[in-house]
Amino acid sequence: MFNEHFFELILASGDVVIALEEIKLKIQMGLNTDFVQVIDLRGGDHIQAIIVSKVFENKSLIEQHKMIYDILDVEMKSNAIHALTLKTYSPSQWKKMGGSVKIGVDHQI
Amino acid sequence: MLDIVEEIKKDIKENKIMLYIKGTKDSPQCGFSAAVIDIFKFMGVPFETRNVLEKTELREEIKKYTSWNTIPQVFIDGKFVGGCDITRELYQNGELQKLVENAKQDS
Repeated sequence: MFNEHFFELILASGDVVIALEEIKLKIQMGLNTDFVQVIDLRGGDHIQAIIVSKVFENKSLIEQHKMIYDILDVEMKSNAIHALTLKTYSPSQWKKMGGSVKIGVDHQI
Repeated sequence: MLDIVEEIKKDIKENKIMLYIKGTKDSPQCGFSAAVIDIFKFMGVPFETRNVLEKTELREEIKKYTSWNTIPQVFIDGKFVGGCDITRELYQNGELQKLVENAKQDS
């Protein structure tokens, strides 16, 4: 039902990617969130999502990330999202971080 | 030939740090795989890798084994730690170093 309303963007390369707003909406519909930010890191198929939700409280990072992967399962499998960088926080962790994180892929450490 | 799942169990048991990646240690084929390799190289600890691109069955089995759908996958002391994002985050907050240190002491 939800998929019918998905906007798709077609890149010059012919690859189909979905709009960032749609990913955000899908996460918000799948999970009770306090904050969601979805950013394009590179040409639409490599995105970063920052999600703050009460449901992450007392859950391991594996469990937190898995919840998001489950919500975006179709898009990941179809390669509409080729690469996803996730940052998940409970509201208390988010507050500790000062309500912001560094944006971008850093393959350097 | 060993069953793939048995092979996974053997690898993660025999290697304190075991990475399932795309490509090889010296020639990773994906930025995320490169990132986890960099972390362990930077920490200067020994680790082993398997290239899932070489073996389709391994790529599928490792995903089933951990119920985790993406590559790379990092194991420390036989336990699944996570993918690239989690490994990086654990490194940044010092947790990864603790896991590695504990794994060393066990041996």
